[in-house]
Formats: sequence, C-alpha cells, structure tokens
Amino acid sequence: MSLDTVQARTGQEPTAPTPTATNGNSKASWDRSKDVYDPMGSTKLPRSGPVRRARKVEGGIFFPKPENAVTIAVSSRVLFRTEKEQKVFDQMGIEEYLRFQVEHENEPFAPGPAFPFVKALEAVNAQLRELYPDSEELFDIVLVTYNHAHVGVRLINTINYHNLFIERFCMTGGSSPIGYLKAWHTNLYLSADAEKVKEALAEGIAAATMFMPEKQIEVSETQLRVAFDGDAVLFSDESERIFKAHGLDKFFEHEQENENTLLDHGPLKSFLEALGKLQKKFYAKGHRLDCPIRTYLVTARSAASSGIRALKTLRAWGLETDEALFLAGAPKGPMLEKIRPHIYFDDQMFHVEGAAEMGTIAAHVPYGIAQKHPHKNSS
Amino acid sequence: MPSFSLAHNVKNTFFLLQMRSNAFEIAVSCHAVFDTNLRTDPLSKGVAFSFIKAIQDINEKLAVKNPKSPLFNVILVAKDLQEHQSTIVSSTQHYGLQISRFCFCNNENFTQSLQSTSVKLFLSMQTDDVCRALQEGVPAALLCPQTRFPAEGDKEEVVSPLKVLLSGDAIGLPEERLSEAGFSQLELQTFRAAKASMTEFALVIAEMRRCFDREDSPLRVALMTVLGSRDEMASALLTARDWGLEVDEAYCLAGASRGPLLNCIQPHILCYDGLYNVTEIPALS
Repeated sequence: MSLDTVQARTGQEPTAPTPTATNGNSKASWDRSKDVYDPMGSTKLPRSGPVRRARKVEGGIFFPKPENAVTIAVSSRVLFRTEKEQKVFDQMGIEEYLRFQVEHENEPFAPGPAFPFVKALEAVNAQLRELYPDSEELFDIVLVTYNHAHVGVRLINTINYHNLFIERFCMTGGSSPIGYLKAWHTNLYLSADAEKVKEALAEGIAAATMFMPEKQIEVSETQLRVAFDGDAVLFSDESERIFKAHGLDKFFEHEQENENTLLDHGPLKSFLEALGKLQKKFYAKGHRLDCPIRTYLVTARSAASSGIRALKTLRAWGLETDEALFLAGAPKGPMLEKIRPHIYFDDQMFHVEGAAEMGTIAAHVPYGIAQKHPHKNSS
Repeated sequence: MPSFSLAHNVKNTFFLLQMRSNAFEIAVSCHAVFDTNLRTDPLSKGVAFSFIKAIQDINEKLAVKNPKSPLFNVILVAKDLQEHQSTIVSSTQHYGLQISRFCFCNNENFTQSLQSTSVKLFLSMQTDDVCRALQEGVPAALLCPQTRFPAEGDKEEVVSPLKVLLSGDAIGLPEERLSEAGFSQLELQTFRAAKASMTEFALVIAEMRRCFDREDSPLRVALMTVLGSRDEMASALLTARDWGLEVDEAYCLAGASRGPLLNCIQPHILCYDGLYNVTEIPALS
C-alpha cells in the first residue's frame, strides 16, 4: 500500500504551496498569524485578515501539523546504518567524518533498525489518507539528529533513494536535540544514544534506544505491529521494584493485595494511547478485523494471578492491546518471533537482547528500577 | 517650524577598535539593545543586548585570527529618541559597547537615513520595520530576543556564539513556485529584496566563519526552510556550499509552525524571507 503512494509521489514534481481551498478543511489550514515570529509579543502585523495560506501540499498530499499528528522522531543512526561513518568519526575525528560524508554523498545509507517500523508507519498513513482524506491525524516522521548540516545532503539523498516520506528534520550541528522534541510535539523518540533517550524520558517523552540487529526476520509490509512489555514500559516500575527488592513471592503477594489498585502509567503508555486513537479511526470505518495497526502486551506476568492487575489497569485507562501474552516467566524471544513486531519495547536489556537474538527488532526503554540491577534476571 | 535634517549621525569618539576598510556595517535598533521604556540612566539591557556582545566577541577573535578578514561595525539606530541622546551614548560607554556611530532619526525617515550611509544590514525586532526597510531598498533582517538565559548574573555572563539563521526558502525555493502559489507582486518584490540582502550578508558570514574551527566557533550558521521541504533544503545546502558557506545546523519544517522551533534554535539574526508577515493573499481560485 505504501508503494502505491510512493510511486504516485515520485512520479510528480513537488508542487508549491497551494491554497487551502483545494485541500483540506479550514480548521486545519495553516494559521500564519500564529506562525509569525513575534519576538516582543507586541509586534503588530502590517495587515491582518482571513488566513488563507495553505499547508504545504506535495503531490496532492499535505503534511500534518505536528500537534495534530502522531509524531515519531527518529535519529539518523536508527533510521539508517551508519556504522562505517561512526567508525570514521571515532577514529579520525569530526573533520574527516564530515569530509567522508560529503565524498559519499551520492551513496545512500542502508536501512537501519527503525527503518521497517517507519515503512510500516507510512503504510498505515496511506490507508488513513484513503479513509480520511482531510484528516491530519496521521503519523509524521521527523528526523532528529545532532549531525552537522554537511551530512544533510546525504541524508536527503538517502530519503529520496528509499522513497521515504520524511520531509521534516532538524540537524543541530552537535548540540543536544532533546529540546527540539517538544517543539515537534513528539509522541515517540527513537535513538541509538541511550543518554539522549534517558534525557527524553526525563522530559516525559516516550523514548527507546535501538540497536543494530545481527539478524532480522521479515516483518509485515501492510500491518504495523507494536509490542510492549508491561512493567516499567506501559506501567510504572512499582511492582518491578518489589520484585527486585524482595523476590517473586513478595511480588505475587503485593500484586494480589493491590489487585484492585490501578498501576501508575509508564513511559510508553502515551504511545499506546496514540496508536489506540488511530486504531479507532479504522474501527469506525469497519476495519476492526483487518486493522493495519496491531498492538501486543508481552509480559512476564502470569495470566492467572499478577496479569489481572495489568489488564484491569489498561481497561481503566480505556486502552487495550489486541493481544495480551502472559508468559509467566517463560522467555519472550520465541513468542516475539511469532508476533514479528516492527518494534518491541522492554525496560530490561536481558529481554531486549534475548528478543534480538531471535531476530526481533527490540528497543530498550531505560526507565525504572531495572536500570539499577541490569544483570538480575526477571521472573 | 524648525528644519529637520534627514537624520542626526553621531560618531562615537570612544570607539577604539580599528576600522577596517572592508568592515560590514550593521545598524541595530536601539530598542533591542536597551530597554528604552525604562528611563533609567544608564539604560537597562534590552532583550537583544547579548547580540552586541556576540558581535564584539567575533570581532575580537577575528582581529587576532585573520588581519584581512572583514569585521563588523555596529551602528545604533535610535528612532524617535532624540531627547535621550546623551543617555543612550553614555549607556553604551557604561556597558563597554563598541558602537562606531549613532543614528538618531524618526520613524518617517529611518530608511532614508540608513540608505544615505553605507549600512549593509539593518536589524530590528519589529517585523514591520524590517519589511519596510526591505521594500524601501535597505538590506534588513530580524533580530531575535535571547530568552534562554535570563539577564541576571551579568558578571559571569558567558558570551554565546552569534547564531545566524538563514532562510532556506529564500535560497532554495524558486520564485516561480511562489508566484504560482499566488503570492502578490509586492510579496515577491520583498522576497527578492530579502534574498539579495541575505546573499550579500551570507557571503560575508561565509568569509568570517571560515576563520574559525568547527567547534567553539563564535559564529554559527543555521539554515531553515519553513515553506519548503527536503528538496528545497537540499538545494539550499548545495547553494550555500557553492558560496563557500559552512552551515552548522539545518531545520526543515515543511509547513510546521516555526515559533516553537525558533525558541529552541535561539538565533540572534533571522534572515527574513519577506513572506511570513503577510496573512492575506489575493483569492486564487
């Protein structure tokens, strides 16, 4: 599905901004009066009047406003494979690195770990645009990198080469890109830099670290599949703290006692919520069974006991995953291999590594108690 | 009625920096540098005060690095502030600002008085003034307030690099595309003027930027496309390269609001493309 759109797009020259009237509703029109940078807060515009300038329209496809879209910010190192360049940087320094990038400007980067995920987002977008031609409730992918602008041409060439729908990016030239995530209304940030991910999480932004996998299994090109761990990912790390401090028996006891108390929300809850909102748009058009977004809860909790609290919490939030898998301590790798998600989020490196070994695209959420006890195996 | 001269220029006799023949004259609105609402003596710092410090930092470093490089000359433009002339002059001395000349003028004639001198770039925080200057043939750009650090502990003040944000739209977006999109002749004229003044400024910036290393440069160059998307950005980046301009940062907004991004980028100078203040376009279809 994404291919159709991509071909339609590449077949046309990008067009200039056109009036709103031809595309979209007035509510969503690009409000330029708000867009004017008003340093003093007092600048009077020379003229005022109805705002009629359109959103940017390209090949008949508009770009949503970041605040209306589900914005996914990805770093260049997770979207593309840049190990070779990274090596040049580490061994020879910034100048050689930039020279290398400019010299290889016409050689596109190979797809990185977030690439299949981004492709799947675009496939969902294509279906959303078909069902809701005027709606801005779409995924918007923003490339956020602290690369220098010199690398910009190679990145743009690569985006063109892979027919990706990425029109927005910021290259901060060495300074931290974290401040920009809020400006883009980021719903999920994916980076190869664990420190940056931690900074984003501390700002309350859903974020995860991605790694270059050794092997990768085929993933669906038409259905986006996102799998979440429960504790310290969708939920807070409250229960995991009990487990880490007092062991499995205390954990069960605690969960039984608190069965009717909701778990607090975790760092990725808001992203599941955003996915749920888009899923409902498909349900409303009769696509419940063939919804192009599918979500999974993959937890070490057990269905019989501790899983009940997790389900009750999700229900109380008005959220649900399409499937909830309670592994009761069994390894997650084999189950994830069957699900074949475009991304799986877990707070424990142990599970991330286990999943990656079996070819699953796994991302680490460096949040909660598990970061302090990285070696201890979970239940 | 007393006769009004076009403008009243005062040479700063306290200005010590050696003027170079290839100096780039920047005229800065006094309202940005000082808080002219509060009639204190000396005047309190305005929201763009740090801009002057950043400019001086560049000049000092350039003077050491490269004896041939152009330097900045700063002219302070005071509109409708004739009666505060002595306070303004003494305030610049108080803060140790290197101002080569003062220009006291009124709102009606400020573009004429800028034209009559060799001003290469007029900077103001008022979009109207910038737009008017551009339309009346004076190269101009927006001066942005620095909001990241509140101006409290000015003793330990660290001078942040001068950040110049150039419009990638003005560089990369062909004019035909704008006229197809229904921009008026006046808007296109402003766009052209903005592009011309930006190009000249960019070439000087390019020469200065080359004198400094990649890291720790007192001058940083950023490029932003607001209307344009990645293809316009690529074209703008390549044009900048042809100019010999080292671009440090690049932002491609493709129609997203630039306000929140500008708050993060915190440029000192925003090269205006002459389009954004226009909220009304003639009906097209």
